[in-house]
Amino acid sequence: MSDFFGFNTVMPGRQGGRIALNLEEQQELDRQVQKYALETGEDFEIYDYGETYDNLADDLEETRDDLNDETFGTDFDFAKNTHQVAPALKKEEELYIKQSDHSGVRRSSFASLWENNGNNLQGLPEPSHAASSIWGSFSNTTAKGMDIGGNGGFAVHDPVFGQGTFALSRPSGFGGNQPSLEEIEAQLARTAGAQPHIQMQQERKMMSLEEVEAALMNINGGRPIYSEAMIAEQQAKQARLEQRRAERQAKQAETAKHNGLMTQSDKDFINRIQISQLVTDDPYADDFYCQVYTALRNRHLQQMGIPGNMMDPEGIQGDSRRRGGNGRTEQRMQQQVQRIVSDAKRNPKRTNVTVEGALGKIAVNSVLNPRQLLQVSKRGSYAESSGPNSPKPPSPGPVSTKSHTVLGWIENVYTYVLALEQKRRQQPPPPRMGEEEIAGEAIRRWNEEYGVLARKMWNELRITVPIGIVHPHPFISILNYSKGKKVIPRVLRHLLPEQTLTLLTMLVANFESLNVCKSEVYADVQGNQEIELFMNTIVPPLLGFVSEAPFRIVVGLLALFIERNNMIWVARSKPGLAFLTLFLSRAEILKQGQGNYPIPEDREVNQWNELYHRLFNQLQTHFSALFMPKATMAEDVHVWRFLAAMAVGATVDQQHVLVTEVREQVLENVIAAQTSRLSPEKAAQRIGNVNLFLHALGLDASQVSVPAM
Amino acid sequence: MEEYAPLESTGIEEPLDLVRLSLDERIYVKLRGDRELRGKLHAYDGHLNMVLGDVEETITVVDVNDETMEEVIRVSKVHFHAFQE
Repeated sequence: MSDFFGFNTVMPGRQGGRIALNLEEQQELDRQVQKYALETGEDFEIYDYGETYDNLADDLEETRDDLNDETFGTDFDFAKNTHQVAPALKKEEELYIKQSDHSGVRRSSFASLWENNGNNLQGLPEPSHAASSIWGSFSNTTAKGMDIGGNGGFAVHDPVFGQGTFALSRPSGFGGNQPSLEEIEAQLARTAGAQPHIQMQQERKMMSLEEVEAALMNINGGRPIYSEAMIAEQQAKQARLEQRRAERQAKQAETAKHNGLMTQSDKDFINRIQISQLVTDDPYADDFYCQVYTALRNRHLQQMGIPGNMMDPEGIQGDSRRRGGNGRTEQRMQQQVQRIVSDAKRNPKRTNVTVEGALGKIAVNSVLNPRQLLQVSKRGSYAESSGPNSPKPPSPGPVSTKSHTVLGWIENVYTYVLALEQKRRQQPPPPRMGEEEIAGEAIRRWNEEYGVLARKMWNELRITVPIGIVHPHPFISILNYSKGKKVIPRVLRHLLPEQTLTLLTMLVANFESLNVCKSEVYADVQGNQEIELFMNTIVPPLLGFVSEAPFRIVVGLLALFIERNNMIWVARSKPGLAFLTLFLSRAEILKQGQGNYPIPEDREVNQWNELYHRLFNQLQTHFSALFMPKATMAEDVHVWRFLAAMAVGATVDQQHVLVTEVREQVLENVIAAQTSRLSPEKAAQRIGNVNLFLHALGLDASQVSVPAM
Repeated sequence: MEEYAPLESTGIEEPLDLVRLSLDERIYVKLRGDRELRGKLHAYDGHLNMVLGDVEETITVVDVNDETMEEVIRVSKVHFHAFQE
């Protein structure tokens, strides 16, 4: 859908050049658009349901108003109040008609509402992006009707006008900026000007239906008609259309007597109430799935060469300046919502708000804030006495790491991560020429806020809790939940390098107490899922970190790893083996002087060699036990990788030990590959695995002599 | 060393906070009409609408035999495997 209610929503900014109309052109086009609007009854504001009226009202239930009291409150007498204000309404209507003649200084009642809020316009918040999705779906529902009109040859929207609208609605001086108050008012007044023509427009609509039929006939007429069945079908179709048209006309005639009962401001008001339920000022929190889905889908479409639709990623990135008419409407919505919300805040005890001139009361409950049915008293007085402000010293004694507590920590981490991600999306753009000072201030403020959030997230992870206060360590407790694992890649993006190092150090120091630190043999289905998750979420980013670490750090981490964990146990787990392999291979690379670091000093190399021997001695006689039982033979590539990493740094004696210990496995694999028990791919995989190890020793699987069976 | 958030804090203030703690966990939901759900909680909202994954629904129906007034309890279980990540 690239059109929005039949308008092309391609933004002026993207088209380029369109915005640069001079004032005269602007005015001329403005006049044309206005004329066009008057002639066709076409309205450029989506508030106007005129054109969709006959579609929407068909399904309305006119009876059953017994719930009105609940909806609008009992203290409101519609008829009487309307009667009282009838003269005013009439006057207002006259005003509207007059306004359509003057395009100068105009104040529709709607616009005057805004006047009070004029100041708000300056410091507009980021317009809601959710609204675009709302309108997006809305336009989908009405698109059909529009298409019919379009095909019928009626008012095929002139591309110049359809597109020009958005460019026109902003004087060139404002190009690329948020519309000013005057502009919005002018826009509103234009809306008002189009109002008296609704009726005419509906008639046009009926005409267009006939034309649709004609068009349908034409389309079919263009094709050779082969059978009478087709003709009959066509006639039936026509009859159906005719019948529908008649029904619709009858219905309309019946309701026509109510036409003009509501003024435009009434309609605006009701629209506002309805829409305020849907608009949010934090779309990423409240409409997250739609946002992400749209972003993903647009990316997908773009990959296929189709430009994104109206809910384009640019809009989602939150740059209001790149958006056209759509964004303007959102801004208006947003303001209205904010007025309602701030009103509700001023009267927090009331559950509904009575606005002057409103039809009844407006409930401040919304989709996001449902009516509260349960009243649960807040924490007892004891909590108050200690107060949230009085600092709680970290309790020295054993602290419970009961599931609720840990789950609470994880949720807090998620809260901050989401806030940080939101902050990143709101990152101020780099300063433009001449605006360095203002932009610099914004960037500084942003940095500060970002830093505060990042610090809070860091504290919430409890990585810096000293080892030994609680067992398992709080950070390990977090990692023992799958959602705790899942959040880590997102956490790491917001950490400073030294914080990442601290995290890795804590992880390595407490590796044993991880629930994934056990052999797959002993893990159940769920345990294996957790291991997979750990390998997919935590290992890759930390692998990236270690693969850039200097030698000193790698030595330190391995020392800590060996010092604080039972290597035989840890090495039998997939994650443990992964970390060992990581440290070993990184150290080997650095020892050889690769990877942008100078060759480490002798002292450091000696330190490393000592560590290596300790590790080797601990694992000696257990190397073959690292392999999984036969059933999962093909999935032991990580073991071969580890053995390869060991073999590279081993002395001749140690290499001999290694070969002796895993001789069985090597032979088994080679035999399995050579006999025809396996498919060629699997055989190749096995040989490949074995060669990982053998190549590190300077050997090859082809050299292995298979004993005669 | 740096400070860290208190170890005891959970931030539970209202019932929905407890539901939040169960996100991504397997939960047990009791519904009207003797229906029960066991599944992994993916999402919920203020109305307690929920998105669950890998759900087992249990419906218990008590049939009363008209003649013998005997009560027969039937339990039907449906497993929805959908919505695995």
